Amino acid sequence: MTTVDFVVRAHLHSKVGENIADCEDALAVASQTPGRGLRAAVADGASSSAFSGYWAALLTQSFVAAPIRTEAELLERLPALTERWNAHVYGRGLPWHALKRAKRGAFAALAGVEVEAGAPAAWRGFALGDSCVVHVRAGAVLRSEPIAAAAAFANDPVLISTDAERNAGIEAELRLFGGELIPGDTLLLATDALAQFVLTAAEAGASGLGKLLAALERGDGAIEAGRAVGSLRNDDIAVIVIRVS
Amino acid sequence: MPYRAEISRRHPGYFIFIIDRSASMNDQHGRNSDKSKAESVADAINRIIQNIVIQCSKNEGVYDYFSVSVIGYGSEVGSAFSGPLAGRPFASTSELEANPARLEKRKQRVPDGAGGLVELEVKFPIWFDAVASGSTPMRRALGSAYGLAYAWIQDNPDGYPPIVMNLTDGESSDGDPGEAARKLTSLETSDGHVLLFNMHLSAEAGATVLYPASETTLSDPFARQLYSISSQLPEAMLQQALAMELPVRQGSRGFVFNGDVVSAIQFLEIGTKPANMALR
Repeated sequence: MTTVDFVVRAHLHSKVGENIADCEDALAVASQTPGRGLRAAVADGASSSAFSGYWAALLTQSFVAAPIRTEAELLERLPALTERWNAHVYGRGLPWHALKRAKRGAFAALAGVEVEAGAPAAWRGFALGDSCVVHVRAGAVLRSEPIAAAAAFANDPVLISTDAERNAGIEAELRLFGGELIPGDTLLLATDALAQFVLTAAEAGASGLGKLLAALERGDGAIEAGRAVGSLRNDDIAVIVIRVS
Repeated sequence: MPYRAEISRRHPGYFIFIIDRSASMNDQHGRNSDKSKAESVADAINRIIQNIVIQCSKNEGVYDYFSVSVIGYGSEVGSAFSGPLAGRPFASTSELEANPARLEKRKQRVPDGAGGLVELEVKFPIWFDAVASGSTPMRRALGSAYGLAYAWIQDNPDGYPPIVMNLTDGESSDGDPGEAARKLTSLETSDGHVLLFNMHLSAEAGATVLYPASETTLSDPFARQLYSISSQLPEAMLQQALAMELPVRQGSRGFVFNGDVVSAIQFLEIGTKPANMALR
């Protein structure tokens, strides 16, 4: 069987002025057996909730260990993850303010993909919240999920919570999608600030998007440059670039 | 767009509370209350500071997203912190967390997970105590807030504008506060003018009025005066308040009559607020 290869670049950036240890975004990548594809996920812990970075990390790790392909798989997964979050948070003798905040629960957006290695390579995606999966072909956005336009990002997405009560009905917000990858294609997984920045570049034209993706793959300053001119919001960033070679 | 500046450790916000501590605050707060107005205000301020600290709680620590001043006005005008912070013109949120005057133990009834309620003992930090003596020098207090806001803006010219909250039973004893309020709210950063919100506590059992957009529902002349010096809620706060299902509309002002002001500090966004995160 013909297969394709992937070049994967993943990086985390904390807000300017914060330490990387304070970053509440998370990412995970797991390659399958050689020649069998990969799984990748990014998550964005809401800064208004407690221990959300840990929740984001749990969600990404869980996704790459076993991808979510249905609404039921998402809902079945959450109780065990919440138990792990509870054990991590409440097992440490929190001060009064942290205890009160923890009782409000943690919230995070999650976006993930699983990619097969055949040629063309089939891929499936999952997204809940405002972290995005962007499929780029020939310098243009072929598909962006769950948000397709830079102007469509809001500040109050429905997110995955540690609190079962807050998760009532979230399956309606879950987006499942997929497609095929051919050599030269890129799948970009990004938390909201960078996803918005990338879609803005795409809306401005193909050359800007191509340069930005190349810079993100090289990891050579595109994020710093965007922040410096104010076109990229000062937010934590998790990004995974998967290029099909 | 104004009132959109980032609030972060690099760019903190600033709350200035100015608290009426005049003798009239000893009066009962409403006909059905067993508390004086001074006690109600002390309770509200301590809950507000507690909520500010909780907003800044990050994992086990507290980030300095805000500075806070508490100015009392009665027989004297000045810093009204109790305990280790006494006399301080302002304190950062981590200093507040580390230095309450005391932690009081209070009972709280919470759901037990099986449909019932269970009584828990919770720690309630106190930074501010009820005091009531002297007259109501509101103009001087607004002048004091002006000095603090002016100095802060010199250091933070591009910051989110200071938010001043005045809690009072309404009757200024050193003249019309209008001019002092206008001077205070004429101060500005590149992100907008200083915001002045007023909470009016009346001994009358009048209906609660939250964030009105006109004075027609206010019968008390002092309430109308305080309404007139209150800032309009900026658009971003208005949207946040709507999301919290508070009764606001275009033109709503930062004015509350005999109502809860603790919610007001939650109008400020620090990062994403999930749509399914009900505020509790």
